[in-house]
Amino acid sequence: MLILSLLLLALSCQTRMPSNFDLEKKSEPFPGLKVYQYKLKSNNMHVLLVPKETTVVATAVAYDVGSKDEAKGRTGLAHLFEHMMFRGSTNFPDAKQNLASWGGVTNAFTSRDMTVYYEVTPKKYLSEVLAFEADRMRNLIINKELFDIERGAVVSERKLSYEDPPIGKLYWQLPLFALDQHNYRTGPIGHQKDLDAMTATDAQNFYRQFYAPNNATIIVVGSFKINEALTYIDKSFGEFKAEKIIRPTSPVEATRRTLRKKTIRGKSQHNIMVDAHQSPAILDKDAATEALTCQLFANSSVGYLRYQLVEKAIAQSVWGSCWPSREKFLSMFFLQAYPKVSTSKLEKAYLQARKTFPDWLDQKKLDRLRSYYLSGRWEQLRSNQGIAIDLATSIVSTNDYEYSFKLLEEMQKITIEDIKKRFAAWNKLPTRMFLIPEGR
Amino acid sequence: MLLIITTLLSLFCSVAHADIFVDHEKDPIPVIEVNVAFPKGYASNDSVLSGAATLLPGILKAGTSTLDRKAYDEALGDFAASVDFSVGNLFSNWSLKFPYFEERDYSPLIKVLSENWNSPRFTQKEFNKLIAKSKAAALSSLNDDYSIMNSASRSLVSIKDFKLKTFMFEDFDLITLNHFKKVLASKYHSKQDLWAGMVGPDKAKDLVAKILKSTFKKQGKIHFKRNYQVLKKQKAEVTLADYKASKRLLIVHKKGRQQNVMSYFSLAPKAFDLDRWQTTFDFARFVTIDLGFESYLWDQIREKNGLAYSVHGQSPFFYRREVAGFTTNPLSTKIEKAFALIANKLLPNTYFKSSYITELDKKLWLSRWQSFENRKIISKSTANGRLGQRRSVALGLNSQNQLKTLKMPSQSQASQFLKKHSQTSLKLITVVGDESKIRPLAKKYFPDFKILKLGYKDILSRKSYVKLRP
Repeated sequence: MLILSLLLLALSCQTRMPSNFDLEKKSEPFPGLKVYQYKLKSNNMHVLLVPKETTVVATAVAYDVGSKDEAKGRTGLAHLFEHMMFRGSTNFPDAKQNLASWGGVTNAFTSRDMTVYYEVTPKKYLSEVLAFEADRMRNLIINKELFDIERGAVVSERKLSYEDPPIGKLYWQLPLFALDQHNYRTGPIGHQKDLDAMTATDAQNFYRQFYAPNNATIIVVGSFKINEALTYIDKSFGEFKAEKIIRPTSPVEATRRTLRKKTIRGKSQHNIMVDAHQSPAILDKDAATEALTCQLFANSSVGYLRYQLVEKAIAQSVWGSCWPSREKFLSMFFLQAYPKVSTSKLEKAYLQARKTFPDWLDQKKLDRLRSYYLSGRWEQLRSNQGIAIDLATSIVSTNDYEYSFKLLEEMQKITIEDIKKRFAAWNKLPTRMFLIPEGR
Repeated sequence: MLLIITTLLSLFCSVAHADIFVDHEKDPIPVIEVNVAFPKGYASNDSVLSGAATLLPGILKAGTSTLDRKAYDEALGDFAASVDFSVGNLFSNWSLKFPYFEERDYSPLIKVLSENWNSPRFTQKEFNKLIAKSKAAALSSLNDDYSIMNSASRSLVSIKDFKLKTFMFEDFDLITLNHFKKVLASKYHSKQDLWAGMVGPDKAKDLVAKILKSTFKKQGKIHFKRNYQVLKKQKAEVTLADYKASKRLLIVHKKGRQQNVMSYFSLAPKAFDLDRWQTTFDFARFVTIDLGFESYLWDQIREKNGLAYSVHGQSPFFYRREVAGFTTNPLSTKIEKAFALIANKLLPNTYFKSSYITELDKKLWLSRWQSFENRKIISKSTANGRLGQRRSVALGLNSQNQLKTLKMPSQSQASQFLKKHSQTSLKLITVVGDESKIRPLAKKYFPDFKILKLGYKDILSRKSYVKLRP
């Protein structure tokens, strides 16, 4: 009897969810992919767990802070801070050595809306990785010396990625030219003068406010038991206090329908053109239609522009950059001209393609593109890292980890008429920029 | 009669041995991914044939003998399938990806894939288009890192190798359609066994078998398994003794840059030279460049000095020699610091000699091996990772066996190696920037290096490179 009681007790201990968590939602958005969403009661941190039988485990921490949340005169801080997060914390002073010795893949990205850190390690390191993420969430080492070193690296990155390369330069310059008000105007790399002016104290204040448990979601995908993961998370994050988060509000961008046009110079051998218009916000009803329309128009493999410009030796390559942001932003189309093709010839061919695009559309092309989307989507679900990043970006952007699955469902309902209607609405914030080789 | 029997026998043998081995990674996600590894790359005795091999993937995208580019794209698009072929120096990879629906008839896809591989669209029109596009792309990619890599690796090659094997911009005009046919027939349409990796559900195995058999015309059996024995090892060919020592500093002149680019390369032991795993060189290279964020190089350039955002360790191996080194992008305001760092701390022999024997370094080295092993656990969890590892083993690069007998090199082994290395080592520092600012620093920090200069636009020219020979 005693043995039986002890066995029952042991069993109940094993299966009981740690009391510091509320199960907020569970679902199976894709066959075999079970997602559990919890809230850590002590500080409102969100947790997404996806148990899967693999040898590795992916962990991501998504912070609801991006370049749109930077104060005036401090652009670039969110991204610079991402660098600081790899400089070590009280209990893990040599962060990179820890990550390397676990053999993991590790990286991070900062966008206008969010900052996401992720690691993929053999499954036996899960508790260490969570302890590491917790320590750098609240106990990061920030001092002037480290800050100045990382500022040097960011200044170098800025020149390397956004000043010298022509495409990077256009990605940086175009939103500055197209938008007048909205915080999305400035890309995450920031203005040079702001990078020069910011201090370690700015970083400290930014960290204290935004790197708080109630502004973060932990995502774990891989081989683990739910209670095991929750216990580790409780142990590592449970004591942290929630912070009051105050973010700057972004002014609304005034509607503009007149075309803005500008030519800049850059280190390029050939002419480049980028054309942009306002895109819907991620939760707007048109977001799915915009994504499909953009791809039908400018996908580098199956889009209309490829057939009209690349195959006719007017452009070397074309592509669209159209993924929706949390608020209305820009859909952009890039065209790299063939040698000796002038900007006017490139523009003329592009405008001609804009005219004839609706006639080119048919059901078969739409179906093909949908299949590619479906395939790409499924493929992302193949790796633990892909799942973790997908859930992270969905929950931060929309508060719903199933967003990208729902988007795909919505895409299945879109008709050719919807595409044509959306295409006809590409008339807000029209902006066109040319980059021509220096010295010409 | 004997000749006929021998020929028939050899034919029979080659057919009998042309099996297909598929490392199958089961995954319920209904997307099929197939990779096929060919132990053949663009390395060739002839620069034009090397160039044709490099451009082969481009012309395969042009379609098939019966389908033009658009029709071919649409035929693949009907299945949302993407096919890629990439050619490296020693290996090539064919890959296929498409969503899988159990009830669907895939025979049109099987047909188009086979036709593309066995009867590609080798027309003059597509050929001309490809050459024009490739020339434009070569000019477009004339960015700094590209120029550095080219200048460094090309000027490390001996004159003989350089003339024969290195594909240069002017060779575009020498390639003909026949070169493509020759490359495809000689390198890829062979009767050797085929090694592939597959990811996808179990129920798709039959379909993958049909695709592979039909596309690659293998008459033998098809074996699905997880993990296979390694490919046959290639034979070592040359040693360090083939090369003479030299020290050069090349300035690629470009005015008005805010960002400089610097690289340091030296000749490394051959990839096939197995003693590399037991030498100080391996240790030093491992610690200095192989470990990314954890490397000595990263630590010195980015972590401690904030000199540059990017530091890339590079150890590409080429057909007959190998180089190792790194490229970094210091700001022009910090260029002197970067010179001093390279001269005083990073020149590998200095670093190897002064620190390799400390207890701390030994500990570090062994822990890095552990980290390397952890990474393998991740890599081994995928069929493609395993396929990549098999390719490495074929080149003698796999560390599994070496790990079992891993020992720190003794002091005498180290000295012997350093002597061998320093006697034969080629060293090349390349800097992109304004010559008037670079030259005085070069003289100050590298007084025993021969200083050379190359115009920015001469980077693609064979003639310019010949002048840089040691």
